[in-house]
Amino acid sequence: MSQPLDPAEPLDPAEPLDPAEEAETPVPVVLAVVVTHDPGPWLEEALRAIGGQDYPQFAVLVLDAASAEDPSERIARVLPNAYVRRLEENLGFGASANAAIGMVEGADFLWICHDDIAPDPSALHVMVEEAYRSNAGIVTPKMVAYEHPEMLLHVGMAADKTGAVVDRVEPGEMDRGQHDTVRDVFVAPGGCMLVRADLFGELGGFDPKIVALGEDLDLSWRAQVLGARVVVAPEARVRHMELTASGRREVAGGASLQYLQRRHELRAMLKSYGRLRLLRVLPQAVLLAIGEVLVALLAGHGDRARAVIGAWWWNLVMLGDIRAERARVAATRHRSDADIRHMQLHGSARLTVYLRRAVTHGLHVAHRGELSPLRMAEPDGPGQSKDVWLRTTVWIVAGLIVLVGARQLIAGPLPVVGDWLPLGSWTGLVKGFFAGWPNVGVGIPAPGPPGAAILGLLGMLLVGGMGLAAKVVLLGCIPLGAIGAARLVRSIGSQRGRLVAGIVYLLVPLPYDALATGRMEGLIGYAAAPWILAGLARASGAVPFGRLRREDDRDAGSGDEDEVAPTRLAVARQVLWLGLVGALAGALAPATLLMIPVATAGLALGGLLGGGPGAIMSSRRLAWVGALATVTTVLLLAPWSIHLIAGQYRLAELGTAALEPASAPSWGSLLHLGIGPLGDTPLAWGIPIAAALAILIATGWRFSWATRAWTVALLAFGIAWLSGRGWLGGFAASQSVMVAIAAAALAFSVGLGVASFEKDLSAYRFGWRQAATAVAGLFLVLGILPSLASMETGRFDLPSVGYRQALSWLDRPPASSGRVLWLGDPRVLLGESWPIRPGLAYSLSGGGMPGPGSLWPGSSPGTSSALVDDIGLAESGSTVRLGALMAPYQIRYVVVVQSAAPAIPGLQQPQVFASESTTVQALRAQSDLRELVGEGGYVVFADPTSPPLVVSGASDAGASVSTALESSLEILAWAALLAALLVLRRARPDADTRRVP
Amino acid sequence: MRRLAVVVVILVVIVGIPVVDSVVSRGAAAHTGYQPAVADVVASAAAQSSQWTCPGGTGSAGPLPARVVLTNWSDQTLPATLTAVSSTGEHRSTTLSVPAGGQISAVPANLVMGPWVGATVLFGGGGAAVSEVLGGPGRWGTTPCASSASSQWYFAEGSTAHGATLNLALMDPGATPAVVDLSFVTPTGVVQPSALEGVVLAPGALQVIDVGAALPSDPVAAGIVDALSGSVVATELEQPGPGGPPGIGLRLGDPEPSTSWSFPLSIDAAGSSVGFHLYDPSQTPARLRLVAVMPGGVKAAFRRVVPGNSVVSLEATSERRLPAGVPYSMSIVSTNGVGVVVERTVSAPSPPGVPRYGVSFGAALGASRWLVPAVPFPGAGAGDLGVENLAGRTVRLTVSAVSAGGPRPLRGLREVVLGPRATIYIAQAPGRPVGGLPLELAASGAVGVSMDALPGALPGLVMLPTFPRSG
Repeated sequence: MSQPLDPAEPLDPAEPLDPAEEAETPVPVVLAVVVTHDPGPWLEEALRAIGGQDYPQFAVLVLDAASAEDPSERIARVLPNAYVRRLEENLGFGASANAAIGMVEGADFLWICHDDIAPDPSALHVMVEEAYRSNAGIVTPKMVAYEHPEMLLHVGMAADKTGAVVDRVEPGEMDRGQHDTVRDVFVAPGGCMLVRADLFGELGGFDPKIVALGEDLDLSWRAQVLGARVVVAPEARVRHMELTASGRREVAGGASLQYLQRRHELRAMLKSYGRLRLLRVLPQAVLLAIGEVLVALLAGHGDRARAVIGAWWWNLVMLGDIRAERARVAATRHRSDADIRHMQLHGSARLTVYLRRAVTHGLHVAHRGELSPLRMAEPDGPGQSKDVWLRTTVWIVAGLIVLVGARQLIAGPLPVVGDWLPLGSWTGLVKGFFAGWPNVGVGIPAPGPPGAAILGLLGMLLVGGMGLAAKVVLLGCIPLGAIGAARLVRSIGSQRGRLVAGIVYLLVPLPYDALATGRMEGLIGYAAAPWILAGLARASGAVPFGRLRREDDRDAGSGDEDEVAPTRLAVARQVLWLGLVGALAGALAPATLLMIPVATAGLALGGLLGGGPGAIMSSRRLAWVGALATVTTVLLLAPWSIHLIAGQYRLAELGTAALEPASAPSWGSLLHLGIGPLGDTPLAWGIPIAAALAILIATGWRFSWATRAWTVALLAFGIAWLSGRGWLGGFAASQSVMVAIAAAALAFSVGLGVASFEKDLSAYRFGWRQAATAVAGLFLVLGILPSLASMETGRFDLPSVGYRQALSWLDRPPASSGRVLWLGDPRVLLGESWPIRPGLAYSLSGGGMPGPGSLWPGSSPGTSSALVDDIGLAESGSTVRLGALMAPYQIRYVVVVQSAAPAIPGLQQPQVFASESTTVQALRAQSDLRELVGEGGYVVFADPTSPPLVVSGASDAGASVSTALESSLEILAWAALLAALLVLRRARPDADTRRVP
Repeated sequence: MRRLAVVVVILVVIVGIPVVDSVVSRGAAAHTGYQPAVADVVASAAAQSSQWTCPGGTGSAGPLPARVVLTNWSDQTLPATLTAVSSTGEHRSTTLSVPAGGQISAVPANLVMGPWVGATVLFGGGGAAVSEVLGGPGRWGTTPCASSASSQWYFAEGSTAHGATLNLALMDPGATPAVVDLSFVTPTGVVQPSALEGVVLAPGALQVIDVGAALPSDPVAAGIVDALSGSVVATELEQPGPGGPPGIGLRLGDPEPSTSWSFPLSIDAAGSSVGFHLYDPSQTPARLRLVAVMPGGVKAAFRRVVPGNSVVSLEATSERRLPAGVPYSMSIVSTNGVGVVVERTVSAPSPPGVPRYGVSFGAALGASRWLVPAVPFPGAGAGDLGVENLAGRTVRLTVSAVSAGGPRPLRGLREVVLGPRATIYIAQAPGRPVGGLPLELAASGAVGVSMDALPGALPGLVMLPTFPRSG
């Protein structure tokens, strides 16, 4: 090797170095290029290891990227024969390494290394051998942890179509030879790679714009585009500190690693694909990015959201440069994108890893989630393992229930039953949000429902698959509710209790009844109820929810610690969180707007009843939080919510059209949660009976919370019962929403019962309590059987044929040229409805079947409210010319819906609500309505003289603008709340509580 | 102690609510809504519109052209649209005006030509009714028209024996086509002539079925009209054969069997024949108790079992417990809850010029308000107005005559007290223009009403229609 350079003597580019000059044997010449910047004490060891290779023909070039201190002496002490070149500026690893291009002639390979590696003595020659054996352009070794060489870091890396890099090894995976196979990989990690010098030159080296994280992906990708192979030679082992990737060494410019990784991956993708492939992949990358941003925002990880947004913005700014790079890549293309795709991972690696981490380690870990090359935290301790096990179990059970119990629903289309209406396009939904729904009632303008925006956004994320979006929402409510229930009981200090509570809530019949009867409010209420209860419980500050959290304090004990109360900051966070949950649920199902007030009232009253230290104060606090959260919910959903509350029909919209008392669920049915076809079985009594155990055997705060839970449940049941009897004036609360609150409370009580079994039972002498425990356990098992049995059909008894198939002709001309009046019990009508009398409601659809607008009909039916009087006249025999009376509304068809789905002998026999039979008789008595042939479950009347529907072409521009502005303000309100939540989440956890003197 | 208190509170709520529910809900009925079981209910005066359907009679060239009688009990003049329909499909409408408290008549056969002509009358309000009259003095009959169509109609009696003619007039008053099956109960069992299966009626159409053509010479022909789709109005016109008594049996069918029937006034006379025909259209035998109540509270009870799908007749004139010449009210109750249809036939040696044969239904349901039109032949007298108390308790009854000036209680007939099961008979007298003006009866409980149109003749030969009033 040549003499070391005199740092004072500038290197003459006209006289490049030629290490081959002194070659004695014809072996490939390798130049080790080591890039360093402000090296720490590891430099010497790294250089020794590099210099100690058993390869006969290689030189070392150290490129110092403008270190503050000249390392030449340090280098010379270890490798006196190494070449040292000081660069004037630290442009990052890649740009610095590129300096080697043109500096050296005659090298066959460049061995590009970080300054914090320590290769085994044989690493280089193994890699060179493999390069020839595999005819590879780039060879990467097996990278292991510096201090723990038995732990794998990388054995090459993979990437998906969007450039997201994924490690091939699991974090913390031990090296047992399981990856010791030479194979092609997509990415050679940048810590240490052997590159053919000619290839490196042809590629132009690393992308100088990539300062750190991603230069390896970019180089490997371009190399493969050029036709070169990238392989891993596992026999070559290199220890690596990963100072840069782990954040221990700051990168040039000081940007965050997450941001750098994202932007460079995106840049690599934008550069390396051909035009056609990019047209396909780019939209997917956009959608994934949007989804990631939303999830990050919801999870409170603003850094991640900023990183993703920043990455896209950076690339947008660099578009001109990217175009130039694309041209360069295109000029060197020897391999098609299709071939490249075969080397990449299928699907979205980031999404896959996120889901896998969420299942195995929890959402907080998943949200932290970088893909690679970050290492995970230390393995979980025993408590965390149990937590993981519990979460995993709940996920698995929830997944099984959804996959097995709803297998037919997943595979096939949802029938049009109840609220399962065709949603149209996502653009239509978003437009409906901004422009309002002009066909509500009879052509009255209404504020855009936020639920339309939520579903529209989801549909957009799912690339327009609104059917899939509907299923995601509906079926997703089940695991969401179960997770909420497990979260509700998180603080009770019993893992078993949490597991049982989660599974019990999963197996209450309510969501499956709601699925079977097509009632969205039941599902949304089921999903939201435990979250709302959990939020209120935390806000109450009562033991064990309000204590100072300590990592080693898992057992909340019996409550004789000092009382601690949440700070204003924590209360504010809870208010915002509850408001957000309430708003999300209320947007999709307005009837759930009552959940927070009802749960608040129940918990507050229950606190007073159950007593305990600080009960009065926590109840008072609860009342405040509940009230503020309700206001927050209303404001978030404004102006739509304001219209609802201030509207004439607020009572109907916040609840449901009143049921006929004779057909409303009885008190007993409510108590055992049997308000639908699946839950109406004596076995379902098992759950409330099991929930009573906590009242009988719990002590201390467990008893207080059991009392609260039962108060909530009985209050909710009571409201549902009073509504069913019509004893709440004109108001009828949604039965399924009230039962959802009660079910969550009962599941909570079951969990408390299990905790009491563990903690309190031993304090009693053997007696009736032990027997009661056994009985409760038995009833619990019995109580969950009906829901398990309902999984058999694969669709939870949701009819397979809906009204769309039976009445599809309504959507076609000439039928579609007139409005359709739908009459029936509110439980079987399609979409939401307006009340006529208890047990009879109506809705209107313009030109065919009801659409998504029927899910949120607005605050008033408009002029169509006169139809109530007209129907009343017909039912009382006071008119025989109902068709003439309805003529101003251009109603061409009247459909009396008698059951949730058409009755088809041999296939499905849905429950019939008989009150419609009088309506049918009244309609048959009309001389100007013609009865069309109908199948079981519905009757159709036609008014042949009705004129065709004429929709005014001149839209109210002023109203549209106003609605759009209102909707935009609503979006701003959501953004403000999310931002506030993010800010509050950054507050120190130990500032959440303050000790009460 | 706190645990005990909590448990007690929870138990009180759980147990107490159903107790409260059962106490409060007792007696609360489910919404009944529309109840068109009776076919000739007068809509309330506040109604926006009401329609009556009269299957009519022969055309103007025939022997029994129909005349529709429009009676208005409300206090406002009512516009009415009369649409005449012929069995050949011809339609024509005309506009009429019925004065408040007044009665007019029209002949549909004057509007359209055809072997048979019926009519629909559409009122621009309520409080009015329509009846139809066939024939003329000496041989006439009258029946209420139907205020609603039905998918079933029952007739308990009919005969094609001895040359008698039996015609079923079917009319579809609505906008829905109807498909109808006709079947009959004969001595040999239920007969469903194939020619009378699947009879199609277009909206607004009228068809007349000659039952004798399908069932010649059958002495008993209780009939069922069963609409498989849509709904119709059905009337039956029976004319005794050449050797039989002059008269016609004209009646609107009964849309639904009932478990109780009432005939407020019957009289057996020497040489006459009064028969009560009990028809059970179900598969289950009906156990009936017939009670005749005579003046002074004297009762005669009879029991009959009517097998399913068959007719059993009680010949009142053969019963010694029913003395001739003594008026009685007859009530028929099904003791096992099986509904029946009951018709009464009367043939009597009436004076010349007066019909001697008539068929009528009883009152299936009691009502607290009744409307009785005036006799359709101006100047003709009327028989007795019979009112039977069906309420099971004492009721107070007021009978008013309705005119342009509004209802005016008849002399001595304001707040008349009727004991349980009691019957009063009101004859025409000075100050009591029974039959001369439309009448309105208001009672504090359910009563049954019948009005004979022939003074001095046996009740039941020609019965004026009586209309229960809703609201």
